[in-house]
Amino acid sequence: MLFRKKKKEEVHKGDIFLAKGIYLEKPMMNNGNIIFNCFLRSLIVFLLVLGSIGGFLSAFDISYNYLLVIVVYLMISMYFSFLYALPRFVYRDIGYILFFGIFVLAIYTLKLYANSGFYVCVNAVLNRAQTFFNLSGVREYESQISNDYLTVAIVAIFIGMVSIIILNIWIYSMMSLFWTVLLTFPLLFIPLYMKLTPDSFYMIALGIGYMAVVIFKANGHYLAFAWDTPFKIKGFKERRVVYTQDSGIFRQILITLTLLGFCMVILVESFFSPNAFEHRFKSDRLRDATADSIGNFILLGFAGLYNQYASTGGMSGGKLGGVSNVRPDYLPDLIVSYTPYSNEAVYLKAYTGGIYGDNEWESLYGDPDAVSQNEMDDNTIFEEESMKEQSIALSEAKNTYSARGRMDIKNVGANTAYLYYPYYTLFDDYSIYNNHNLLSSTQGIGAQQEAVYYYYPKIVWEDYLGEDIPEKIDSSQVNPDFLDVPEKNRAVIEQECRQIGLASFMTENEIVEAVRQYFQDNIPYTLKPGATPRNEDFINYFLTRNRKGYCAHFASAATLIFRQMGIPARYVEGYAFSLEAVLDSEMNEGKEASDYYRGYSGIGEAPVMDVEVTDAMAHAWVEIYVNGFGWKVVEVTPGSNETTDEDDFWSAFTAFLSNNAEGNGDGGIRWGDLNLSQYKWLIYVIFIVIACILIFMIGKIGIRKVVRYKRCNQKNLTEAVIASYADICDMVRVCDDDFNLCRSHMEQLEFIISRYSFAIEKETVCQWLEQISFSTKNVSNEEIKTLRSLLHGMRKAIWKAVSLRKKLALCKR
Amino acid sequence: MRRLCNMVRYAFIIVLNVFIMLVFHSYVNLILLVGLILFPFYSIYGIHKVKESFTLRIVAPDENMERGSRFYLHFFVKNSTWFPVVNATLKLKVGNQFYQEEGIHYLNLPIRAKKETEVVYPVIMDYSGCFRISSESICLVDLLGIYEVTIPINVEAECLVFPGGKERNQEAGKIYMQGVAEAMESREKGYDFSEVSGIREYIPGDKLQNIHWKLSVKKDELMVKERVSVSAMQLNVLVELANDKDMCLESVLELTDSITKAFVMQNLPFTIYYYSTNMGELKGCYIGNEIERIQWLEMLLYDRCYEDAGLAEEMFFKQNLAARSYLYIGHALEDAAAGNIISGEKRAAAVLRG
Repeated sequence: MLFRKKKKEEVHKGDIFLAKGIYLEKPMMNNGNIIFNCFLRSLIVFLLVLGSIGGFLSAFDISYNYLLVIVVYLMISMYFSFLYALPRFVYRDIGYILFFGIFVLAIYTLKLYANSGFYVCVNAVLNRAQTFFNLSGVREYESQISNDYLTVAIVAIFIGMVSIIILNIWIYSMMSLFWTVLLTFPLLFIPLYMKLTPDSFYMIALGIGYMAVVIFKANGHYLAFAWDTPFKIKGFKERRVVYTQDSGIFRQILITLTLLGFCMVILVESFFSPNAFEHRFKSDRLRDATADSIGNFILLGFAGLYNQYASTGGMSGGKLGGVSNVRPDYLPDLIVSYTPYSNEAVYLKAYTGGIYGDNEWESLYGDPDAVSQNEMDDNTIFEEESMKEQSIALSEAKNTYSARGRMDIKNVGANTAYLYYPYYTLFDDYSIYNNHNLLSSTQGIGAQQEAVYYYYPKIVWEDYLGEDIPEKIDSSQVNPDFLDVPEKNRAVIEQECRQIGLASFMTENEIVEAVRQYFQDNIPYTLKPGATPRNEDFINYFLTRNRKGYCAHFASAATLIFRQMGIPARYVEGYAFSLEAVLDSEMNEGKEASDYYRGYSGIGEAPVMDVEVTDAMAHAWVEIYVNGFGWKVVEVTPGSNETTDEDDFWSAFTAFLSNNAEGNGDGGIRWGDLNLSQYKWLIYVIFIVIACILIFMIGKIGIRKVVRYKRCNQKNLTEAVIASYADICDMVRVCDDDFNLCRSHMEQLEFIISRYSFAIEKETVCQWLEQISFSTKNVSNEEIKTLRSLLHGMRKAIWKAVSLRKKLALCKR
Repeated sequence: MRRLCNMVRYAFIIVLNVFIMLVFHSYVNLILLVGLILFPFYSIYGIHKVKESFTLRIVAPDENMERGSRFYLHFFVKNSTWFPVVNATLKLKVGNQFYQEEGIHYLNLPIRAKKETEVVYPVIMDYSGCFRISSESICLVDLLGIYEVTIPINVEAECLVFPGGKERNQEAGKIYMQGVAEAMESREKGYDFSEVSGIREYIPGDKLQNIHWKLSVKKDELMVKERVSVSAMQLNVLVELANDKDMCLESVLELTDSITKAFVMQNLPFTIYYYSTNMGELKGCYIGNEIERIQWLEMLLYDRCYEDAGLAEEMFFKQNLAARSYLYIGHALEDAAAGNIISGEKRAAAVLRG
């Protein structure tokens, strides 16, 4: 019994149980053409991705090669749609792997284009943010490839590729609205937040996509299907057979949504314009509440949201550690008028850090109350000895090496708490070397104020000295704090000294050179080193774990290393600019060069230049005390070594796509250069799509007609007549559904005669037809030919009798 | 539950959209909001339009099928409106009328706008009988899955499935001859194979053996039995349509089909009897050719089986038809002598009795 039952179950394995002894095999439904089906299925993902990315770009008015993007999106969407239509999972996996390979190759090949395109987008966002938040000094990124039209398209394609892959998974396996919205809408928050509206076309596309997801999710018919299983069994107890997807419904829903979408836009815009809508809102609370944070974020990146200290460049006053990256605004902080005299960098000193404390360089004279008068005097003498004496000596020397310069420094955006002055300036009071905390109230350069300094150029000073060793300054007078390495840093610094290969017998110059070279070779320079974690020491973290940083990192570490090696050293902040920056500046023709520089010059005669010193030129460096020399600037920060290159093939490709019409001046239209604002491109796209569909349909119909003609006119007369009759039946069936009810040749002939008034001897025709169709009895050639001509006449009569609409339907066969 | 989920989801989308619109002052979301509010009306209106105009046809094969063979049912759903329906569920009753087996089945299908959607069901019946499929109702769900309309719709189709008996020409011919020979022998011995059709008063010339003596005594006048002559060269066949849990009747039907087919092929006329549940009486049918046999078989399969074993034979006896030998086709038989029996599957057998 059990055996029999099992046997029966095996017989009907895979069948659906309807009632006792009644089983249903796989139900069938015409799903249509596989390519057309995949195309329809892919449209949802395509519309969503195009709506999201295209909407974003259109909101910021970023122009790109629309044609390229649309074609690539469609192709990728269709590709993944095909993968989901494959009967076996393994094929899908292979398809994914294959695509991943292509994706990686494309990323590798087009990375420069993608980067440039990305920068174009970022710049557009930042420009808008600058206006919207009234920000000053938003940095603009420089794209390496200037063809924005192509680069934006490429970055849109890459982002679209990723979106399509992820959306495909969520849509064809779950039709998840949550993930669909999450993957497509957040991008639009950026323009929406900044009061920019994406183009209606993209919004319609997005709306259609969302509504399609809602509809198919609500009804549960979205699972990808293999072509032989349009149905699945659901609910064992209820014996429910449920269809999976139907291309006809897909097509009709998409058409319905498209029409409704356009109607909706026209309707709403007719009654309620965007301006009228905006005027209904009297205030923008969101903007008011978030402007500061978002503005800070735009200027500083994520660091702007949590950084403790400013990081836009400029002075930090010795504060370290809280900054993850530096985002200069590239606006002028100082305007320096002077006459260049050397090709070496000019350092403008502002802050001197003497004691390294808790992630901060504190001034040695920070708190005047805590410093005794004796100590102050000692230090003042010490500073005088190091600078003033040399200055005086040089000023008094009337020989070849005598030189004196003037520098006017105007504060246009720098921190007003500091003085900014060149080295070897002659001051009446050298307590000026003290830090800002002590003197800010009295001696800082206020906003838009100008300070005038007279200085004795270093180059002259060095050349004057030549090989002579300067007179020794007793280092015992140096404040011991300049030799102090804090306990917490000692082990790390000792270790670093060993790594660098420093030894006690080395001279100051050798030590300095070794440290500089070591940093250059082993620790990269970056403006984005990341913030120092809490409870970590800035210098220790830099030397042991992070191993990358900007000037403050290198200067701080080098200061302690020099101290460890017995060289008095201190951390200095200020501005530094090179001769290149000077040459890029404007010449001040209103000022006499002779008023600004007299004496020996390393570069010959030069005019007065107005150098715009931006916050990007803010810098930190080290001063070491050299016996007989005083405080000397030591530069240990390595240069940045970013490089770019361009691929010739893609240059050619760029040129091809951008179409050289730009350069020929004839005003020709560029390839795919469709003006979105005028919706011309939409017309082209619609035209192309319609043309493709028409060609496809006409081709399909044409192929069918050729096949039918060949069948009806084949050499075998009997087969030809059978095919002709089948064709006539098909014609009648198209024109009249009731023909399906006719079950025999006689009934069919009666139907045709009655409906189309065609006079034939139906019994004879029926007999001949049945004989040639079912009987082995031969029918004479004459009879077949007669039958053939009758059928020919019948066809003509049907064609004449049917209405125009039916004729169109017949043409579509 | 599903509708509730859809409603909640849709409401959430509207709320989210309103939120984004108010927070970002987004005109795009205003358009979306208007769309979201109007779309349910469109969707529900569409369902009502479809409800008014859609038609359903179920087409089953005209010809009779054999059990175990596949036949195709066609469902044609025509929607002459411009509104597509993504979710339509057809409630169907499927069953075998002969065995009184029935099941409920649901077919979920799309209804394309301005089109006729066709779904084909390949069906296999393990048992013979009358396959019947009828639609009770169709449930149309709107595009958003938040509103549904159930329409009663009564469309049905049926198809007869024959037992498809094996070839048993030789055995059947032999048993037929044996049955007829026994009848002849009995006649020679004086048995009368005529059947009593009624009682009437004596008419001079009536045979004495037809006088009903007992009744004549009671009525005090001569009464005679009116007889209808039955040919001794014809075999009676009795089919027992009692079924049990093991579906033994299917074997009986298969045996009946093959034996009757063999009789017809060998031009051996017979009268076949079965108990008709529909009519509540024993039904006899003279079969002389294949057309008559097919008609009888169709009539049989439109009828219903019963549970009482031996019901047909009991009625057969009551009608005094068992006086001469007859071929009994049924199951659970122990009285068969060798040569008088044709065995079928399970416990089915055809036995010559009487």
